[in-house]
Amino acid sequence: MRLYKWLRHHAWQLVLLAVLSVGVVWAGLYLSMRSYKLSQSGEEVMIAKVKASDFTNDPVEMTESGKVRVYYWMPGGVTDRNVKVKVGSKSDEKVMEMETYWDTDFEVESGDEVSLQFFEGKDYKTEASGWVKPNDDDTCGLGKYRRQSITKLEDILEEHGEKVEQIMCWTDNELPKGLTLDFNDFVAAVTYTGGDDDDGGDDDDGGEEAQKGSVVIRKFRDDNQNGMLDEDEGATGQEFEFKVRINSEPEFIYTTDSQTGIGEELEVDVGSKVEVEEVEEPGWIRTSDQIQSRKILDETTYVVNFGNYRPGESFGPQQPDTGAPTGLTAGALLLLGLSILLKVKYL
Amino acid sequence: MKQMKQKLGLTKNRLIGWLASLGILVSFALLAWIYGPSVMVEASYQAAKDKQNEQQSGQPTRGFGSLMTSMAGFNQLLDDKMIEEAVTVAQLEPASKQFGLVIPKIFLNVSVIENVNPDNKEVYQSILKEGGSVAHAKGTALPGEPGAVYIFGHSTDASFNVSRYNAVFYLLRRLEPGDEISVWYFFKEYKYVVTEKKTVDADDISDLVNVENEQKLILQTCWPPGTDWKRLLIIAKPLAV
Repeated sequence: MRLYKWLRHHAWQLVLLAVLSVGVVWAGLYLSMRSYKLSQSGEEVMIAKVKASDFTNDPVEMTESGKVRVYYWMPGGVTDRNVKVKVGSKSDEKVMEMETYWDTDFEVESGDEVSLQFFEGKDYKTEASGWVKPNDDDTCGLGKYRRQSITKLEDILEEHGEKVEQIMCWTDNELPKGLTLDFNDFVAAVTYTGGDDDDGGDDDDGGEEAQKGSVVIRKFRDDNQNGMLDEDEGATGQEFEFKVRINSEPEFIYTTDSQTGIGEELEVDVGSKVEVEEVEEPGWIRTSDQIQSRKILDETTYVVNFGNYRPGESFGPQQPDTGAPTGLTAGALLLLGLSILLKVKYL
Repeated sequence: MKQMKQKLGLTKNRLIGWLASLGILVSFALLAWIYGPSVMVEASYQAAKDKQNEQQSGQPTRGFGSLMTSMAGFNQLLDDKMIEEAVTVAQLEPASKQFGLVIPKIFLNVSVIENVNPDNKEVYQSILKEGGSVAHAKGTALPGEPGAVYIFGHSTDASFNVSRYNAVFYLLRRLEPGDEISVWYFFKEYKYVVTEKKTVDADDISDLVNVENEQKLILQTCWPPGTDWKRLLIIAKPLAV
């Protein structure tokens, strides 16, 4: 009865407060949801906003004479793309698989210009958007958004021993989003044929006393996970085992030292093929291929590097925080509770 | 002054009463702002479920989502086309085949930004804000690799709504062991099945550090919704083919 009287007495105030509250919640929810919806972008992940002028897209000026070789590369990728190579008024094209190169028929002289264009999608009709030069730290991307490392491709090129004219960070076609490109989609390189290809040097043993080269396996802690041993990277602090096979001989186990990261030096005949397989260690992730092989071409020491890192070590003391601050929500609830109490008391 | 107060009828009690009313309105507004994205995701989910039930049974279903979609203002935000897409798209084409996450049960279909540093809030919030998506934590495995693939939810660092937008993963709480998750990475689909759902403290990173090389997927969001107090982890293992 008392409550009824109280409600009756304050009816207009309560109705007003209820109407205002509903209005505020409605408006707050609407604005909140609208801003949330606007914050969501479309399908492709945008990494950097660029202007059309951010593209390099110039033809590559060759500095030597030779035949043009084109690399098409994206780690782990499986998308074929059609590449059109243009030298002067001539052009040629070819559908390339990921992580392959194409020795074109173009003979160029120093000063000639070579341009590339990639096509993707159905019947390879969609032009890729364009390319930029890699950054100084061997990554693709713009500004602070530098994520795709090109060191593995550089490694391959160095192994082949070719003169590299240009490495290009390409972005695919990201329409209909327009200029929200990432230069992170795939990488191409323009080089010359005739470097030290894989097969070079598998001849002439000569029948004289066998020449000896050597192999050392090194396990390193690849902190930046780029697959390369960098200056500030060292041993892992634990032993690792590898299965080693020289030519067709039975395989044996090779162990690297926990502190130095390297194992004993293996002497092998020049011309031998050494295949090394890393034995996986729980808690470590590889940044190099699990199986690597080397052809021993001369009397030097070949170092086979295997990088690893521990998953999760880039985590700080806690997991990433993606929620609203607890204090804000708790504060709002506390304010609500307190306000209701005061309202009831002082209505 | 006293006369003015009397004229306005302002007594101490009445003043406190008005301040309390203001407090109620402000707190409602704040809570609506904080929970807006979660309400929207929940409404979209419910509406999509209604739509799915309707498609299966032929009977129209009216639930919370349908109610929201019919309310003035919200019907523009939760239009039928969007709901229809949520039902069909989640089961058909991934948002990104380069790196995408599809969870049919909760109609989730988003692209994933690769190699985002989880230890630098400024960086990951900035990237997530621009990407409008979810992020794969740098230093964790990638699909197909041994180890844990760790993906965490959407957020933003706009000055007025810091860390508010974790709503993309808001529905993770609805996943249960046995539910399927697809991850697309470089045009290959990796299927996982949920094996565990748990809530841990923010500083509990035992699922990530020094773990075995066993392949698994971890999806993370903050818990409870609207806070950054704890972490909800959905752990999934590769689906045996």
